[in-house]
Amino acid sequence: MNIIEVNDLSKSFGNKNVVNGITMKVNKGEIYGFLGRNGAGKSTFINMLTGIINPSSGSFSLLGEDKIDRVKNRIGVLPDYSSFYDSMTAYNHLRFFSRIQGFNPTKEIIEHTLETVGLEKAKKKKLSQFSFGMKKKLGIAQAIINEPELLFLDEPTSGVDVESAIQIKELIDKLNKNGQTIFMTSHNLNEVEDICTKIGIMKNGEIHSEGTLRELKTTYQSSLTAQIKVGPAINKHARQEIDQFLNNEFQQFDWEDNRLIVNIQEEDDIPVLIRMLINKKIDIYSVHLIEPTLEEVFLERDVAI
Amino acid sequence: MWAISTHEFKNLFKSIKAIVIVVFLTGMSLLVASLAENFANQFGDINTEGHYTAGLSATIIFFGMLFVFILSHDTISSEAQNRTMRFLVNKTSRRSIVMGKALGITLFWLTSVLISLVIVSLVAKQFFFETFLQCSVFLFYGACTALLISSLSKKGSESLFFGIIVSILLPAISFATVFIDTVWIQWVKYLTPYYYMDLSIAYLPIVCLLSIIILTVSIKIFERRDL
Ligand SMILES: Nc1ncnc2c1ncn2[C@@H]1O[C@H](COP(=O)(O)OP(=O)(O)OP(=O)(O)O)[C@@H](O)[C@H]1O
Ligand SMILES: [Mg+2]
Repeated sequence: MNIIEVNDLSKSFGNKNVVNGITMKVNKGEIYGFLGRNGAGKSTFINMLTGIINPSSGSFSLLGEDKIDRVKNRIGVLPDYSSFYDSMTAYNHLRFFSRIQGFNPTKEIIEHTLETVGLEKAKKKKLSQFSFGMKKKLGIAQAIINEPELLFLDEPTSGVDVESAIQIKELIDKLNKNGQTIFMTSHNLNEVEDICTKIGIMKNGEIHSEGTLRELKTTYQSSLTAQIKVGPAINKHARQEIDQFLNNEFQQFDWEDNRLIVNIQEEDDIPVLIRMLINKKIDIYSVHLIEPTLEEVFLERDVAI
Repeated sequence: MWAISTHEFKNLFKSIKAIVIVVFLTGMSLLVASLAENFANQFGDINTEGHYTAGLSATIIFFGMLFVFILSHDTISSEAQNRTMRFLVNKTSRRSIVMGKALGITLFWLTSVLISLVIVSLVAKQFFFETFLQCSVFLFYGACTALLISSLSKKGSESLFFGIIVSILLPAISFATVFIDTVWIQWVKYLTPYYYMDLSIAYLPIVCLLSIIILTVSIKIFERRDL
């Protein structure tokens, strides 16, 4: 069963199309990372799925149910732009929100959840005294307290300090290992690269590229790089032969001292290189395959489309 | 739904405005009731429900709508404007949110009327159940209308503006029906609760029905909104 299934979903505000007929699905157990520039329509898309705004057209189902009201107690949501009740404490917020979902948490559960997001010391604080980052953490706490099967997180780490961002990333990973499916957006590509099992890149209201990290990287136009450390002494003749071979087969290459750097198309090119070097009696000290970062993939995609 | 209604109920009791209004309501009831008591002592027994509860009934008929609107006009509009609503709508159906709020507001007014009536009953030495029913149903209508205006408004200031206009227009038009014969004004009479307040309590179900229709419309409007 697909945990999220979206069919030709669109949203326009006035005559401005913000989401243009997105069709996609998310499988159970995935951490789906949704990328895109500011204003691409990511939050608008999430807000439609979570019942915050109404779609202009199209349909979707969550947890196999197309009447979303029926599964609202099985999902958790951190919306993008939202606010809390200023006069209520963090503890009371969690209790109130859980009850709305039809779940009556014990004191231990509430305290444990606050601890999970690092807010145990602010339990009795009113929200008017919370910083932006603390509110973000409470937002995550209210989304995860009921152990939802499906979790929507719109920029869970934006605005929090470095250490907290790492903790949140680890938390998402842990929740996922416990069986939760997660749909998140982020502008922090390192984080997405670390934890997301599938990535969608959105531009102008459409999903332009989608796939696992590996799939996105292998279709990356500027391909992979092999970095080979060779023995110090290469005679002039051998060097010329090697350069000639590389010129014919790979075009783009470079020498940095005794390091040979070659742009290759696929992993299978590496044995070809090694065989050639061995034939020329070159000593090989180490071979590294360098993949493009998600950031490079993202930037290239974003410009290309 | 219950969590939302409890939240609404408690919040109303926490606000200063609400306390002032309840004190005013009780004060008026008590004042008129004790006048009635003096009157009864001087002119023999006129121990009827009307005399003791005139203060409460009149206050509610003239100011009830206004009170309900002042306290609850923004229950949806402000939550939508400052986006606390975003945390509610992803957790439960919009219908439950509106119904929960209607219930919470109505319960708040039932409690307030009950407090006033209990105090009056201490003077009169009897409890006026009919008045309690009438006032409750009237205020239920008020709560539903406040929710309608709130779900139509984008901002708290907007719902306050329309709320005050409606809470003045509704009684004004209803009273105008007594003097003006124009057909549409006569029709309006049947849609507002004022006309039925003068009749026997057997007519109260009609007011309840009107309120439920207004509530249903509010739910439909709220369901179509982007938050
Ligand atoms: N309620 C609204 N009315 C009109 N336009 C809106 C509304 N909400 C969003 N938009 C527009 O829709 C576009 C997409 O906004 P959205 O918030 O979905 O982007 P996003 O991808 O989440 O961006 P970010 O990375 O900045 O969070 C923007 O151009 C925004 O101006
Ligand atoms: Mg966004």
